[in-house]
Amino acid sequence: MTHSDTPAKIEVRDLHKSFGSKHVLRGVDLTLRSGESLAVIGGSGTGKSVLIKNIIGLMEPDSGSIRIDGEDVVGMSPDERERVTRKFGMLFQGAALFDSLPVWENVAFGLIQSKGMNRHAAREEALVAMVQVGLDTDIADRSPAELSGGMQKRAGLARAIATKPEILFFDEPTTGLDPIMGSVIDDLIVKSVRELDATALSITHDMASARRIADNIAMIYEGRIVWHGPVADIDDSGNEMLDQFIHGRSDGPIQLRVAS
Amino acid sequence: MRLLRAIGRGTIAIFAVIGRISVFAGTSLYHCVRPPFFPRLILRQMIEIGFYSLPVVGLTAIFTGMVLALQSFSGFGFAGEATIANVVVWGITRELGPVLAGLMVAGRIGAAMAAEIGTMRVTEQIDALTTLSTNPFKYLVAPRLIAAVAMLPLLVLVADVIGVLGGFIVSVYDFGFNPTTYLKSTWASLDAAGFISGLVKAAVFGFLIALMGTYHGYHSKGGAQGVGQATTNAVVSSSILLLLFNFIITALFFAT
Repeated sequence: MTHSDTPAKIEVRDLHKSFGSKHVLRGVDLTLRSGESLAVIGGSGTGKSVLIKNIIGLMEPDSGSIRIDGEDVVGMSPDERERVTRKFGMLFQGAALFDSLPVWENVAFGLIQSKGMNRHAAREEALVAMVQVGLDTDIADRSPAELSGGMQKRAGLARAIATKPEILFFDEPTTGLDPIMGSVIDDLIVKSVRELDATALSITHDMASARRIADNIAMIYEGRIVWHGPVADIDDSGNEMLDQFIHGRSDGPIQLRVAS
Repeated sequence: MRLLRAIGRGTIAIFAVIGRISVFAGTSLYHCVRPPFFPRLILRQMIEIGFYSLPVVGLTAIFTGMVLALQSFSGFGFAGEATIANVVVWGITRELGPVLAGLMVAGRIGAAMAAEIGTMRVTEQIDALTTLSTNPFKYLVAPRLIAAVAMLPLLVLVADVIGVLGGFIVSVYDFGFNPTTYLKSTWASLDAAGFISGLVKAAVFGFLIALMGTYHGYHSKGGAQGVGQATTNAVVSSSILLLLFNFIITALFFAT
């Protein structure tokens, strides 16, 4: 599926971010078009999480620009940033459910706090979102701590889609899940993105997951995008780094520093 | 040269921490007065800080009042209802009530705040709040600050009453003082400045405890060890600040 004729939803240009002497992002350029699902792949410590946190607004970049629907969000005031953030929904790696709230209130959180919906109506909406991700509504009043890892991910996904966001972010959506549950979560992600007609940006190092959920793949290495293209092209990309990564080879241009 | 460099580095680090805490406090206060507010969360924190701290503050106060009366009589060698009632009332309302209640709440609530917010930080729950268009200062920090500033004076009020009662119990049932005379002396010993200074201290202590608990929790990192460190830092820093501000407020009220 191509999206070359649709407007850019997210545009990242020459993005830099350092922590002390560690230069994590070294000029990232990335464009996501409306309705596109892009997976950013790369090893641990290559800058995937830092990239997504900069786009969402959890971190401020040192330089470069991030445009959401054409609006540069770098240096925006907190109030303006909050307005842009309302377009977002995010599934965190560990689900990040609020353990002080029952499951339904976690799912309804954005509806109550961000959209100002009353608690009764928000609960009804939350139950609908829970059903959409295959959660039994009987668990609505349970604490997140009582749920299995897979159920927590589903609840996190229900929370992400409950506000019907325009852009969905997925941070390592299958990490910590068994392969079957990982596949189930991937299918739910694809279904949710399609139903919402949303733009999706995922970061993962799980290649099976990336192939299932993404239209396009971007590979990040040492803070730069080293390959970007359709998911169908990754097996014959001609890019040595991508080849090494998707086949999990220890030999190649990517050298891991292992302390002896 | 090396010594100078070390002193300079230490001084810069201290000012950097003071700066970070000041910015955190300023941001928190801004969100305390700017809507939207979260009355449900404020009420929950008030119950947690005020109601559930009553047993520990009450027990601390009654034993302190009893010891104060005992020491005044047998230790300091004071005799008579008026003197002992005076020592107990002044000691409890001006110093021991607010300071001991503050230290107890710092241990109980400051640690709990740092642990809860610290866990939320390391499990990305605070990041999740931001992605749900909810300012963590407004949702997590402001309700705790408001509740602590409101509840500490009430706790100290209770501590004052229970502490004075402790002195009364020892004086009447141990020393055999006349209860009516002792109560009259207690009432006569109450002074507005001492009593109000105790409540002002309590409000300031409440602010400091909540500020340190939320600050250290908010900036915790590195998993369980980081949360443990944040909890320790919250209790230690709030206790030290509490004693420092106790001196400053006492000096402001009573230094001539």
